[in-house]
Amino acid sequence: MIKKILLFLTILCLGLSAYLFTRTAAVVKETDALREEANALQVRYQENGKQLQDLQQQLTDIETANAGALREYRIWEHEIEKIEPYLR
Amino acid sequence: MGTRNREDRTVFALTCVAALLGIAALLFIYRSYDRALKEQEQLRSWISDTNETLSVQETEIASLEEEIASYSDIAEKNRKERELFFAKAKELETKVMNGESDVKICYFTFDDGPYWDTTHIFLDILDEYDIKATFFYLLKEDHDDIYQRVIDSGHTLANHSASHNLRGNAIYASVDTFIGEVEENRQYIQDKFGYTTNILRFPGGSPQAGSLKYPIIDRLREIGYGYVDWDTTTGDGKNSGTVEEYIHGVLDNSAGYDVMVVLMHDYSVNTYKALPTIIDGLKEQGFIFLPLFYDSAKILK
Repeated sequence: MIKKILLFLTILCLGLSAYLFTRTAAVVKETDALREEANALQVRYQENGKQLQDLQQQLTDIETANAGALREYRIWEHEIEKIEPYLR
Repeated sequence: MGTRNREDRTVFALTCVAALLGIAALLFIYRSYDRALKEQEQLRSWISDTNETLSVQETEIASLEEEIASYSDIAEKNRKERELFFAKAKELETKVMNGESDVKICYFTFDDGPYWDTTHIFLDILDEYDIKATFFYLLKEDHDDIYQRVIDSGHTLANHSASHNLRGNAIYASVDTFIGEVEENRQYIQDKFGYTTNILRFPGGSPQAGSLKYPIIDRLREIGYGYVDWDTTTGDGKNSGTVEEYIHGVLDNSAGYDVMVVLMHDYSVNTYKALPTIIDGLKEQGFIFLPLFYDSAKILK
């Protein structure tokens, strides 16, 4: 009787092992695909970071170069705000 | 019998070993499966977080690109905003003149500058009160900072001839002499500061031109200029009045005007001392302050 139980247990374990083995292979395959996706995202993140830094520098340069024009634009904006209540 | 028992025990032992190996294999594979699942879960979570970060980054990139692009036509935007302001100023002036508004308009004008020692004080006072005015300037080299500050602050820079030479009325010797002075000053301001003037005040006022006044006005019209005299003044032309006299000069003579041009000079110490009281007094009378513009009804063509 014990022998039969042990035999059943062995077969059950081997069956479960085979099932888990195939599941593990599938999960590993999915994980590999996710890792590739993560690598691509990491590259995109780094590229975006560099682009952001470049754009911020570009904006600072443009703001410095156009400080006068920007100030003038704000003056007219402000003057329009001041005059508008009298036009209503 | 003994041989059979031994075989049974051997089979039993082998079954036990097989069962143990089966359990060990199951445990080992389960551990690998569990580890793979956890790694996958971590990766999914990292990907989700990174996607959110990327989305924030990309929104920021788009907004920065938009902001940078907006500078490509900043000069054009400035021109349009300036035009819009003066269009609104014209609309308000028309309403005021038609009696459709409760406010009155005052155009402060300052003649004969720029002056190193006093103009900055006038500009500081106007800044403090958030008022834009009009400066009728002569051609004075080595005063770049003042011209530039007037322009940068949004005041109107206007033409008062190059020399203001009234000795023997020399500037009005002929139409060509006078127009030559106007053109010389216009060209100087245009070349040096990129600012186009199109409003003139005759040195001494338009009556000073005598019989040349109307021929000059015809020529001014041809070169795109309008001119303006004044409605009231501090009386600081000779720079000899007191602060009180300058205050009364404006405040006592402003009652009849809905739209008023005030003449002052930015060389006068007593004028800048009087200016805050003049501003407060005119505000109490319901005036607001605007810089002159070519399309104003006060600019004659």
